[in-house]
Amino acid sequence: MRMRNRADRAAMWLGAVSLASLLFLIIKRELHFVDIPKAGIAVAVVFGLMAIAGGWLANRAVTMAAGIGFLAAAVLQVVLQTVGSSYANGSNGSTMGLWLGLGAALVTVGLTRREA
Amino acid sequence: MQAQDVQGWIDVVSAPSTLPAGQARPPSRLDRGLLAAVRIGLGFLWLGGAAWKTPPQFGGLHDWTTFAVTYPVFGPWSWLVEHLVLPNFLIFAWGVLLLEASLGGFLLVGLGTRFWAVAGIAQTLAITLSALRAPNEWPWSYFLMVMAHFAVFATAAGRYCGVDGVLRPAWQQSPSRWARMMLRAS
Repeated sequence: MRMRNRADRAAMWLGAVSLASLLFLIIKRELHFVDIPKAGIAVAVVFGLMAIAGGWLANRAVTMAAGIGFLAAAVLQVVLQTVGSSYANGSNGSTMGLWLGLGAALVTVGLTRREA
Repeated sequence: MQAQDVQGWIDVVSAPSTLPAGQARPPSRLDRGLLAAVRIGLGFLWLGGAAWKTPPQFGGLHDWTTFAVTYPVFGPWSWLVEHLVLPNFLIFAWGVLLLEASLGGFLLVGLGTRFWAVAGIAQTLAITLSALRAPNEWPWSYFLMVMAHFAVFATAAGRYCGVDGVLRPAWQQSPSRWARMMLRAS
């Protein structure tokens, strides 16, 4: 296994942020933080754990895959909301933005050379 | 105002960025944490803004956009909104959703933070020019938003508890155009 560096630890943190975002399921919506739909729990858990695994194993391919997964989920969220799918119930632009940020950050970590 | 007063102000504004020994104060852990909190708070602010831009009709955003015409703040801006934005509203609305969601996401994780701080200032100015004179608006909320983005830009707040701070050493070592661009953006 490769030695973990700062970028790998950042991937682990980003995965942890994704898991922590599930707290928004219980924080009142009137506070206007982020809305996580029930269908988004799988996104937060699966890609969050992938990001943590990618950082833990110092495997940039796994980190990139987690990032691409978040980006795909962000695109899917806005498409489902636009067509009025029930899977998008309880989600909105804040969900898309959160996953966009996590995805872009993980892809950038994955693309950065290992000297970091 | 006399010539020496003007020269005095120029001296203050153009003072060297490095302070004399004994006056320089590197940011403490508390300072870094507070700057990260400002950046993350702004990220949540924009995510909250993106939350009510709802496709495919963007009804709420349309109402707010018309404020620029109904309660004009700046004539040329009102003209632009009336003749360019509102006739092409859906294109504009998708752009606003993408911009505000990106502002929220990127400021939250601290990636390309200085670039997104500038984008946040631009978007805040656009909102200000549209809604400043709308009923029940508090003008200082917009001024505070602009100033918070100034702080995030000036302190490069993504370098504290952000992805920028983690990846900048690698970007500095890389000769690629992408790395140079990220160095500037962060």
